Amino acid sequence: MRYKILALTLFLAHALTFAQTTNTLTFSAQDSDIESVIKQIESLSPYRFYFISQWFGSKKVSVDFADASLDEVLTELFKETDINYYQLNENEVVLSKNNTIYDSLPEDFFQKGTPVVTDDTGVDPENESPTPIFYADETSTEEEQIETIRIGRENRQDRQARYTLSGYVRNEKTNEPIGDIAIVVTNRGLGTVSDENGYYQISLPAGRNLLETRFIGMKSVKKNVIVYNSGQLDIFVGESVQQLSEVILEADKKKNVEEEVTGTEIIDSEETKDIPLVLGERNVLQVATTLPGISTAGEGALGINVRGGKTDQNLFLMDNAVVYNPTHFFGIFQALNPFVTKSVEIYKGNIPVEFAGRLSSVFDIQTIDGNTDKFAGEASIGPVTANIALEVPIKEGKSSLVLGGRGAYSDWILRSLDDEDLSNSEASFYDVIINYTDRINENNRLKATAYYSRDNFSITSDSLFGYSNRAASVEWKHTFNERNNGGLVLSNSRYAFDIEFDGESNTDFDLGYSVEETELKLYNNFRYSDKHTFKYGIAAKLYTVNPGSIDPLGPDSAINPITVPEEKGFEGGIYIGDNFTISEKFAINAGVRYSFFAALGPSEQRVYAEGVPRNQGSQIGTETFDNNEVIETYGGPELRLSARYLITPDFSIKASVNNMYQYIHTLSNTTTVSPIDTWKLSDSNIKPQTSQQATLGFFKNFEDDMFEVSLEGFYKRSQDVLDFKTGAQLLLNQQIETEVLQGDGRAYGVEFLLRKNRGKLNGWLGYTYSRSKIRFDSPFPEERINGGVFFPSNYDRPHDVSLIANYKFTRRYSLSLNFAYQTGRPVTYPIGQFNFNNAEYVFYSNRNEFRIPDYYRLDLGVNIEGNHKIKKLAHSFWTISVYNVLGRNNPYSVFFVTEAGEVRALQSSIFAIPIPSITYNFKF
Amino acid sequence: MKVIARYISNLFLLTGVFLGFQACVEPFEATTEQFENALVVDARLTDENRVQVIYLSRTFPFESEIAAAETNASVSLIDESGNRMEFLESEAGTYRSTGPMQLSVGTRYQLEIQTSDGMNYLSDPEELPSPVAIGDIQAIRRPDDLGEDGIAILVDAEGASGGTNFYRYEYEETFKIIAPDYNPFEWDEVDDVFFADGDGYEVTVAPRTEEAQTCFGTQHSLDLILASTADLSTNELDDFEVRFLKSDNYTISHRYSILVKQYHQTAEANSYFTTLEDFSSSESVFTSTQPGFLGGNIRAVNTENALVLGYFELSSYSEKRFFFNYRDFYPDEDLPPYAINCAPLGSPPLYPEGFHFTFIDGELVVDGTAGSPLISAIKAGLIDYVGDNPTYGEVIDEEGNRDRAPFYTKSKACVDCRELGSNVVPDFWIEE
Repeated sequence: MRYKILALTLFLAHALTFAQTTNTLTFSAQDSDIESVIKQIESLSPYRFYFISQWFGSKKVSVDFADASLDEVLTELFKETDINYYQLNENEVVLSKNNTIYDSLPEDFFQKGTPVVTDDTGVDPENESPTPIFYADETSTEEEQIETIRIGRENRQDRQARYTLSGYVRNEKTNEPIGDIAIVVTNRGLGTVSDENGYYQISLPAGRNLLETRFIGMKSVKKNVIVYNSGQLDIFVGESVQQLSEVILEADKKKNVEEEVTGTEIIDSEETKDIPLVLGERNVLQVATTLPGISTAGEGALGINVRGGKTDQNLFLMDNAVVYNPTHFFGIFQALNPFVTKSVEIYKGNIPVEFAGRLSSVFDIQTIDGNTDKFAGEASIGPVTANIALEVPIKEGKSSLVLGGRGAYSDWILRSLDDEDLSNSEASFYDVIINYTDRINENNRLKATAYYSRDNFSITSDSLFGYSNRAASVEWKHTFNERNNGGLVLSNSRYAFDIEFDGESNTDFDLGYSVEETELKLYNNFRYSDKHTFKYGIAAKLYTVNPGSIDPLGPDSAINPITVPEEKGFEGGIYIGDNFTISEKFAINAGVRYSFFAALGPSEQRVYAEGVPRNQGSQIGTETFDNNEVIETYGGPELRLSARYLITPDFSIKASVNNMYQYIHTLSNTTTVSPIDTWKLSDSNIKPQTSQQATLGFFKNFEDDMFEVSLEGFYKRSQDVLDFKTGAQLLLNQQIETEVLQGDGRAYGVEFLLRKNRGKLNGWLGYTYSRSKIRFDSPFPEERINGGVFFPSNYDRPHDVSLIANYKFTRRYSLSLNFAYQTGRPVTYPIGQFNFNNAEYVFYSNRNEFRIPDYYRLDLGVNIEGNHKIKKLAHSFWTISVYNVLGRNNPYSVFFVTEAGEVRALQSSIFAIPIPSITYNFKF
Repeated sequence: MKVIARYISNLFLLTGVFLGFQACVEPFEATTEQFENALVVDARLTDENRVQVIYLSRTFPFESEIAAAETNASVSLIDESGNRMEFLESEAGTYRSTGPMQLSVGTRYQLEIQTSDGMNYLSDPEELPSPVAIGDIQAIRRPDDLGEDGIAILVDAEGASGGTNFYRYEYEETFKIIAPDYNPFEWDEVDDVFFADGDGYEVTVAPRTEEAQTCFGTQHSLDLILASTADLSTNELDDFEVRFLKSDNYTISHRYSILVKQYHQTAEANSYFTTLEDFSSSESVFTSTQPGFLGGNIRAVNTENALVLGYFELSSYSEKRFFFNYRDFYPDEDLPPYAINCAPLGSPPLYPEGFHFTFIDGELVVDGTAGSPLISAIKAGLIDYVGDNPTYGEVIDEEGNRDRAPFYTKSKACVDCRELGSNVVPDFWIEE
């Protein structure tokens, strides 16, 4: 999208210049209202204005112009109003109240009518040519528009290293002084802050200084100041409400250092296109695992482990709706359309108070807002899937529809195989997404998203295994006033899988599982003062789990139908948080949330005798609950506290503590996640999982934020995490609590990340040392694992190194590299063999006492952009990549099978050889 | 949920295949990282009135081929009235009841073992499940779950009492083998002495004296075959597939017989065997069941630390035999390929190429390549006679060398079926 905006900006700048030089106006008006003045201009000139009369009120103006440009006229006319104008084309002018339409308005627009510069050099800044280009390779249109101001007369007799620049910072509309605004000299690493009168003073070296103001809610004004001598510069800053996203982009430069919340990462889907990944499929989730603290149990393993947490402790949200399994094909591919996905924000440390329900992390996936002006699209063709996304404007400038589709053509591959068995097989997946955004008016916005993904596998024509995700949400955002904006979100999600087996024997069956949840959230953000920004809200969620049913398929099937009764639960939360800027250096982000869960009937809860192992024999009765009768309640306060102290403007220290509750758990007796793992709600026999985490980190930016470095340590404890007795059968188990063990977790680690954000070479290097251990202790041997002491979890991978680098040779060609190294994951390895029943078997003892060999992998990719002609129909992009260039045979797992009575040791690996791929992308 | 589990692991297998050239499973040489020496009890007693056998052994590391027997243990079965029945060691690690033993339904038995190192082991009390007769056995031709054609052997279990029933099956299959390249002659004189008798290498053939054309092969089941009525709407097991023979299996080429052994076992025993199978069967590339120590129903007395492996299983036994012919199901099809490839026709030379001898001081000395390829292959039992070479001794190759091979030969198993089975007709064998 960036290309389009750029192009538009250039075009507009051109149009305005043209208008200025051709039409001049000469007229006068005495004590007239603004509307009649505008009508007068319309009668005198070809200009046509678009506006709402009520905006002008009853204000009267008196004006007198001779040979004035339209800009001069309008600037004078609207000087004391909150009206902005926007010249749409040569003769059409759009007026707007309060907000500007685009930040691409020329920088000098705001200075025209107001005395901006007290310039003691006498040079009229308006006649200055645009800023000379300082960095040939980093030229952007934005920089071209930065106004250059010369301060002072160069005095050859009195040459100093530093001169003093001072002045006032004022609101360009109200002329009020702005205090506490940061003025940063971005090319020098200097900065100051204005006092309460808006006055600032800064000592600057002679020569070029790039000044920039930063203040939340205000536009960032940039001035190219060439200092010859001490002097004065008043800066007028415009308010920015709708421009917030642009401000964030600027703020992001220092986000690493300044953000109070710890342990956050953001991945821009567009930026991941350069990273070589398996079979050329863009995968933000896999990119996420290259960041410190985020890992998987193995290549292609379903599920992500964040800071030593289990895979079920991550909350994947797509536009606020939960996605239970955001992957296709058992975890190898993401189930997200890369063109519709805007970004993924990951919270792994102090999770913001508005999120809850999972212990380890939140993956907040945002979809794009459609283009409201013109039809646009993007598509790609890769070796496995084809992707397409279309942006369809519905109401120009207001609403738009985004349609995304994605499908695999693996079916075709399977069918073309010579192997007769496989040609009847099916393995396919697809996902579709639709979203609708509507800026109803300046105070109301609506976004609705619907998403569906499905995987199908079948080995004979009559059998089918499939899993699907459904997620839908509607968010209405409302701005009450300058200080309050809030929203209402309704979301619904469902994850389901089903197996239809139609074999030759009389055991044909249809097995189904589903979990569904519906949530309503109401929130408000309240900017109380410059120091306090509060957010508060309330959320209510209803879960319905259908833990599984099996039904005979066909009249001959002897399968006994079983239905494990439905589970229901209510999860509620109420929260308040404050972003409190105590001083310019010290800020805290404090929040508290009360989390509540109620397991609801109808249900029959089994009661077990205390003090004996829980099994069928120790069941002493059942309790029956009616529909919506509360079975059991859990809950408690959750604290989310983090603090940031700026030691220097680009160096900060941050700390946080938080605690979480989780009421929904996966049931899995496999070493890595399987797609038939099911989710179970807490009930009278299964307690919620809880965790507490503390972090401490150091964050530093170098070289004008080109480099970001962070070092963060964490310590996390968790309680009542789930595991299972050896050999537990979980699917359709009607007494699952007799198989469940609940124990403690302990994870700690240090994460190092070095990022380079700009320049020909960019990317990041991450290193994590972390441990993740769990303990299942009990007075009874059968409920103990490894003797009741802490042992490494299946995803405990102490050393983890990731390097992602992209080198741009030219604008069109770039080379990418992706390197990963991890300690091999723990495995349970046999401690011997034995003979039984005329066959050999291996036997195991303690869990996870050995490790598979270390993992490493190098991927390379070449990216070729199509040419950069602006008026081209489509913009194309090729990615040629080789995954696992070194052909390293990374063991994924080792296992032992008894075949023909003898033990065979086997080792599996997923991608053991280099895998080349070519992907073609194009935008239109 | 066994059906489901098996189906899912098939699915995973497929996905591995789909990843095809990328995903791979390969064998590796396992080494023992940390060995634990433990007692292994293989005590599977049935309701048959016979001498019952219990095997005791020790666990063994990967580096070792066989398990060491647990010798000099005292093994006894105790019924609920306290009666002891001793088992005596007949050979190393094999303990037999002192006479035929008839266990009774409804009585609880415990197994007690005292090993020579003084450790005591005791099983949970186990009860013999009620007898269930094996029902009809039938064979049908159908594709398997992966769509491959073959013969499925299905059994029914009849007359089970109420509640869920659990079964373990074993089979013993016996099948007729007809050597495809049978020849009525066999090697007679095979003289590999070159010097002493002065007549050089010599091989002759003579008419066979023993049956070698038609034999009977026997194989035992090695996999765990488990069934239950837990998933089913009735207590009767109906058409349970105990064996699937792909249509290219040579054992069904002529006449095939299967003895299906049915062990009606307890739920606990079935759960042990199921988990054992779960841990030892191949799974997906992506996920595998979390393994751990699989304890049976035998424990060391007075300590939690000593591991015991194996199981004390009481089952009620029933067996039935079933026959079928290949032509019953494949009237017009070619026979399945033979056990080995019999296409290659050999003609090993009697004297090796470059064979040369000379007299030195009156002694005969072989100064070229020695040894007869024909004789060494015969002695190794690799080949059998299928015919004379008509060009033996004639000049045949371009360099003027004489043909050195007197006979045509084939792999022994192609000619002599005794390589694959016994030439004795089993007692139970019935021709149609």
